[in-house]
Amino acid sequence: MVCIDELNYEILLSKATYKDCSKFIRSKFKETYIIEPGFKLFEAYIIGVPPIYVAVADETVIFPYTKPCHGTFVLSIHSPEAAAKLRKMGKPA
Amino acid sequence: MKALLVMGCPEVAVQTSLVLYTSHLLSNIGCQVLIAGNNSALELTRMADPDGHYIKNTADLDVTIGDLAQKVFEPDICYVFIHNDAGVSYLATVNALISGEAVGVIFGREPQKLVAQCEEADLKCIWAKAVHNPSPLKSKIKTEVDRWSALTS
Repeated sequence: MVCIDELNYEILLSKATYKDCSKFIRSKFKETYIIEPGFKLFEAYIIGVPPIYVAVADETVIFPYTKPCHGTFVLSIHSPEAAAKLRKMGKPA
Repeated sequence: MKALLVMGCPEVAVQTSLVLYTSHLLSNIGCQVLIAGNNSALELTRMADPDGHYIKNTADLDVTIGDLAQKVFEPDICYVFIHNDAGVSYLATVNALISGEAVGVIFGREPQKLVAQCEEADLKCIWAKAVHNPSPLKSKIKTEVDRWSALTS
């Protein structure tokens, strides 16, 4: 399993509350989608309180990533495959 | 019946005892109990129960969420132990993924804030202010397990 930690990611917001991360994604990005809890992205299952907002900017995906001890982060990862997956499977927000 | 106990960050002292106690109650009514958490949380529980009286099965938290998402594992009841914002996210996720019940067990210094978040998201929970002493939650957990047991028997 490829861990998110092994990918080339950028942290846009760190150790925040889930709600703050959700607001951040909705306010900073135009192309946003809603996904279900447990949606698989990069071999990780996305955790969150529905509705879970994610965003796509060109070929980069932006999403919340929760760790039990460190809260929720907003990560940005360049991935044409993941961007296409969110555009295909996400519900436009 | 299958039960899942989801542990949060192990930094608050009472979590390990609450999990062992809940596992004990669920085992006594015939449940198969799986305890999920990160490596540190699991090591704390395993070391506290070296002969495995209360802990039969453990699993990595991320792997367990994947198993729930893929319907490889379908618990009848899940208790999520919560003392921070991330814990509410885990409860909401489990609640969305399983057809059985998901209930939060909230503790720590400021449980009311987390209870409000659960109520806002329509998530069930029991709670008490407890950091070092698990006693405030002991009877509430017993009552909750009895409630669920009565519903399923």
